[in-house]
Amino acid sequence: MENSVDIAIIGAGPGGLAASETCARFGASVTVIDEQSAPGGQIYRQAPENLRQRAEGFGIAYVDGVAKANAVASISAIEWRLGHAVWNVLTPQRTQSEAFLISTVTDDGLSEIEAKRVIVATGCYDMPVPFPGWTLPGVMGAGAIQALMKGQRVVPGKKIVLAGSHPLLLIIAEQMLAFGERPAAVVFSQPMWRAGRLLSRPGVAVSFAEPLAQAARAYAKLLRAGVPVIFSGAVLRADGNDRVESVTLAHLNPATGLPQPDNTREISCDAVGIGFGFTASSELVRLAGAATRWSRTGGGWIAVHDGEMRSTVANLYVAGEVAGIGGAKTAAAEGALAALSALRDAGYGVDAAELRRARSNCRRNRAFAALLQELADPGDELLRALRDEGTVICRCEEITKGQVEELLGQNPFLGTSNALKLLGRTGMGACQGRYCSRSVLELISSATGRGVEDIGQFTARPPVKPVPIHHFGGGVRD
Amino acid sequence: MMRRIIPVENGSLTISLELDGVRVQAIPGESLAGMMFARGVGIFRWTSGGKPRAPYCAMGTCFECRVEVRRVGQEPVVARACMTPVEDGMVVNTVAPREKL
Repeated sequence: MENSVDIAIIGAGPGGLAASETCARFGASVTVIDEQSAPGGQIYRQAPENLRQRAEGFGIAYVDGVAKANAVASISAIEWRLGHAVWNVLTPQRTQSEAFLISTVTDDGLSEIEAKRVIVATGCYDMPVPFPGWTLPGVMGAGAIQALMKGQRVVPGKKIVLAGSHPLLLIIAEQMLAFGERPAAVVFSQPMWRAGRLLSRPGVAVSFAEPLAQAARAYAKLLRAGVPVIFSGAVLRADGNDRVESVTLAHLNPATGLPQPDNTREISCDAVGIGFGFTASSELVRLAGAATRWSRTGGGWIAVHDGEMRSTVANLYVAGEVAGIGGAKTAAAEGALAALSALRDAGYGVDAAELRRARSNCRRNRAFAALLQELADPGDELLRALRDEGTVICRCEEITKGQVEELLGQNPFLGTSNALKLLGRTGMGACQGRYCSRSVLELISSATGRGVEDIGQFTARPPVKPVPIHHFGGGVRD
Repeated sequence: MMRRIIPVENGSLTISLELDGVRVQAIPGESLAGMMFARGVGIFRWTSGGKPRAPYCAMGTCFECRVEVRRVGQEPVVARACMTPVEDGMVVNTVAPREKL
């Protein structure tokens, strides 16, 4: 294992970048792997050179974040494997050596990286929320709309409805306005007073003045631009012929938070961005055999870790959203801490005071993350109420809620996600269960009364990202 | 409809490829999905159940945007349009409804 690097970092978002910078500062050999062709992750997603105009429309934090990402990318001591999707991670125990073996795929073929330690900072994606019509072209994750604007300078429609419960919707709407795109409506499921109640807690408004002011500014801007910002509302269904043409908006009962079927209206639109929160991309953590736990509001299955970001697998560390949805600053704080832990475990002289500062920085950011999770939580009852019998649960295999429930009714002893996958094909498709696992878990739980940990998740199996079969014919290159 | 949010000069469209049998010009580094959205393509593929699909996540996780891609001198592969940069000479086909195959 002479070719192995000290530390491999999977993910070049805020977490991976902070980790790589820290590793480089200590002189460790480090390789950073990311599926995108430029560093920054989703939050600092970069457009190609000829499409970078007006980046300031995404705000100062974006411009600074991109600059920082590119500054880290220019550190010559770091080896970059951009455009590399990781499809397998084998632990030293599995390779029977001293190193992890990380397998990647690019447009051109396969390659491998050996590393003594691995930091997983793979981020998250929009939490899938099935409702009638969510498979129609034009209906997408709210984060997808932002990714298209940042990365490609395109919008998916002229009349875009943003709906969900996450405050990020305000920021996306504000960014659209900056490019002259006026959202058709921004719809929050929460009553407006919910935010006020959280913010009135002692210390909250002072500690989190900056992000709160940012959200307040975005809200004011939307109102000035005449964008309808609706509270206590939800998109019940999307309709259209081969593309979304309208959504049905329901007013939610203020007492129950559930849709009132007799209090609806239709909004004409050509795209919809759904933002109820995020799901952690924890499949590599699971693939490596590290323990995860269920976090209903914090990203689904997230990595179990100690106070210094060590997962339950030796020499495997986690940072950012895979450890629980927390945003860019939390990810950066945890990336730095994970790197310090890895460096210290590798025998580098890490100053105890620096480690202490990094830990306290993580704690402070996690306090805000917890508040944001609470604020953004739509509640499971609402999400359950949004799907009917005919709603597609598994997008890949086109399996409806009714079909899943019928299977569960016929097979009363079917009590795990894996069993349902074998019998009913949910999770067998191209997305490998990323978009149905949460719904499947909830449906099994409703039918059987079993606990989340007992129902479990689909086993993560390589390749966690599809690899063209012909790549396996030509051997592996370095 | 989907479109660019900044003006694009014709001079930056230096990549030439084929999309569903039509020769198109594209910007170096942009993704197939970006190029297709900029051209107003609304449907990327049809499911075996006959339903139209288009990008849902735009970040490589949902696989709804997969299209058939043939690079010069290579076998055709199914690729995620949102994660695949345009290349000169590429031949890209959206996946047709089953009855048309």
